[in-house]
Amino acid sequence: MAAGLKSKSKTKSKVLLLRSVAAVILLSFVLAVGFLMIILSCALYQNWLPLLVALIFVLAPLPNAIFSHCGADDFAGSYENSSGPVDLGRFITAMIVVTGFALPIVLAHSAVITPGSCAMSIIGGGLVYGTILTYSQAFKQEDSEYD
Amino acid sequence: MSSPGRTPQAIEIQVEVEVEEERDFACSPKPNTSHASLPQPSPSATASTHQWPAPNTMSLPRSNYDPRRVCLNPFPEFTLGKHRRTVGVYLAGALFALAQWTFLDAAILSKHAKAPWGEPDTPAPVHVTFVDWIPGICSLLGFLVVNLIDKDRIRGDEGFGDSRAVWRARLFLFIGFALMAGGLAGSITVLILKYILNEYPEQFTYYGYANVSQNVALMLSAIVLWIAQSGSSEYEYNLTL
Repeated sequence: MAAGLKSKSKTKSKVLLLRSVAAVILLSFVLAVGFLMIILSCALYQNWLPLLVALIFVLAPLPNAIFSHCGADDFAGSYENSSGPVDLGRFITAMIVVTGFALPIVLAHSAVITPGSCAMSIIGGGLVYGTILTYSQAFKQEDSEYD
Repeated sequence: MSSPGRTPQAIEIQVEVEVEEERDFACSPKPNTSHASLPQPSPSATASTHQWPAPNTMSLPRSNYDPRRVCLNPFPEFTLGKHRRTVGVYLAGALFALAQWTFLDAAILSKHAKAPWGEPDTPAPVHVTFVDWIPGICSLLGFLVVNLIDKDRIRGDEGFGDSRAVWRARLFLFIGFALMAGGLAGSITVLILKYILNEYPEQFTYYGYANVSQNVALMLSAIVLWIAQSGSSEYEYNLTL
């Protein structure tokens, strides 16, 4: 009985591992496609300004990650970890994300880059940021499962 | 609103020597100080029925004359649940960045705009100068001032000791909101005086409209951030009671 339970849990963990590996491979594929789009948007039009979009979107989760360790008190904020530094991190993250979408639009509006380059860099940036978001969310869920 | 009022109650004194006070101590936050501030009559001096005039009629509901109500937000509760604060802060950050980028778009466009549409030889009649930047700077300063103030100080609850701190916090809150409103009014002034009255083509009046939308978005951002942060403390306040 105990052996059967153990083997069952083993197969379950194996399935979980396979699923997570598949998810990681898929996410890395999407990330590569996103970077490809951004680099293509630069290289096709001989204008390397949209590469800034990649930098911005990579930097976007950074304030959230830094400030999330500041305010979270295990006893006080059980409903929602809400304190000044955490809010500041979220505020800056939202600012950076909007900056990443707005920069190509502004550059295209003043004819520094072409509209095609703008669209490609926005799609690429969205893919990169979506990958980062999904990856962190998946990790968070796995953590909570082991609790 | 479940916050207790601090208004003095009517005190009835009978002809007899015994003094009867009607004052609910559970409701008033500082019973000792209000006790000391009211002039207490000596029982022998009053021979007739004496009644202090209440400053407001008691028939009104309590929240209508609570003097602190000015600074409590009268906005309705949203049903975003426990993620309300998070969503509000993200939304405020997005609005803030949107405001700045709207104006920067106009500034970059002005830098790169060489000529009106269709006639490439004539130079652009107007550019974004420092005058256009002033309302945005005012709004930004107001935004910082409003958000640097501790919300609990403005509510003026007990526990902070210094009563003048509340007064100063409200003064700075007023200055912050006045700066933001001044920025908005200034942007509209710039739009009208610099762009509309000179009858520039639509390509150039866009600078003025971008300026106005920058200030409107900044104000919206401040309001959203205020609601998000004060709503949560309200929630905790209700929990502790």
